[in-house]
Amino acid sequence: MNDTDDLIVSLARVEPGRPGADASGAGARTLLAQITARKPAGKLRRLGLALAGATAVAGVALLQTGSPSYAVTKDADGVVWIKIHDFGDVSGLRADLAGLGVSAMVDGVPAGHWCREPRGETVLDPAPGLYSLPQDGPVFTMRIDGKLLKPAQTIVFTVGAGGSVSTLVYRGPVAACELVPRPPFGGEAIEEPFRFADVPGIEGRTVGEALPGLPEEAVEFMVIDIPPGNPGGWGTGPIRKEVDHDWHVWGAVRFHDDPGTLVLLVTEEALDRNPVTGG
Amino acid sequence: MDERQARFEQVYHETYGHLSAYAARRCADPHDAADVVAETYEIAWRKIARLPSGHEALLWLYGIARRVVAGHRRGEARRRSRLAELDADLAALYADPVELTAIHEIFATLRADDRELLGLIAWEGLSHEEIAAVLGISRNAVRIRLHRARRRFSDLLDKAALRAERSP
Repeated sequence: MNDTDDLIVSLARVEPGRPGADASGAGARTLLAQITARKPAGKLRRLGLALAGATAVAGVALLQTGSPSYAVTKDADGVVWIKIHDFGDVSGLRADLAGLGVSAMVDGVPAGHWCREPRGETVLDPAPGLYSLPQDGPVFTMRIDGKLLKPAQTIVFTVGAGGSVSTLVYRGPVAACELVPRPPFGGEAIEEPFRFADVPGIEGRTVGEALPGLPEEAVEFMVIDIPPGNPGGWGTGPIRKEVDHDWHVWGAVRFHDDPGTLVLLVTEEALDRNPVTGG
Repeated sequence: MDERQARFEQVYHETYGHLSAYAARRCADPHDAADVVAETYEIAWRKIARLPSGHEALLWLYGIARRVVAGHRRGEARRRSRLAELDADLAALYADPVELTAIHEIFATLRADDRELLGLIAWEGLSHEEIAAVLGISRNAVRIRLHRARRRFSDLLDKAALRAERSP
């Protein structure tokens, strides 16, 4: 407190330290009854493509040089991480993943090619939080929550040289990738109009904290949709020129038609974990 | 009653006095204050999964209320059905008219951010750490912003030569 604060104290309609209205009064009780008469949970929001089970496509930069190399690890909580440095030889990947109890495949596809679909019976409603899409960066990292993959389900990542990733979950057997020269599903592959941008040090920060560290002049904000309980995954939302500085940043993307603008993925609320990376 | 409702009701009882005071200190009209209280708790109920426990709940509610007040200021308030009892509760807080002074007018010319920061200190009596929690910024940012807000207020007062009158 200083002298200006003392002046401000004098402006208060309800004297500081004193409560306002009585919590046991008629107004408080009526409002409480009205509010709790409804169900607390909001409506289920649209999930991100990554969770919707359709073809989810996200930008990724692949390091195409070097010796075949990948790593798979499993956390104590059953989450499996796949790190791929290049797609020269991923033939052993499936067996390694199976050894960790996860039925998953990763296919690298040359430019202008796709895998013929369907390669099996697709699951349209995989468990929310089952996997996270990779981010842009030299190492291609995917996350699969092994506990959420149901028996007989196989998760398949197809990585295109053009920097796209499609993720599908299948039930039962999955055919090997047969290369075809056009997108699957009658060309209706959903391609995100953006790719992820690797911007260190912004995730989990507030907008006010993140902005000063950004080299970009042009920064915009996408207000992303988070499913109830923040199980992992997100939906695209409206783009805003500005948001309050106390909003939270979870990642960044660049739109193909406006690569000079960094678009931060933000939520108004603080979240217990990053919905974009699953971390 | 399920666990969520019990938790909500407990927080509601613990915070209602503080929150209604918060609203009354920021709204010129008791109906607006009633709306702020109602909307804040409605949002809190929808987001019950994120409702913290203990003292943090009050800070969290202040954070919601701040946005609701800001929304009202921008004219984004949605029409709601009036609760006569709630209006009456809040109107009681307006029974003693606040004498409008030049200091009020000067305070009102500050940016909303500055007013909020100064109000959280002087009216709600929050610490820097608590304000950091309400605003979702670092303690250091609170310190810096508070310093600037006080300086801006002080400058305005100096300009109006009001402080001289109040000095002992």
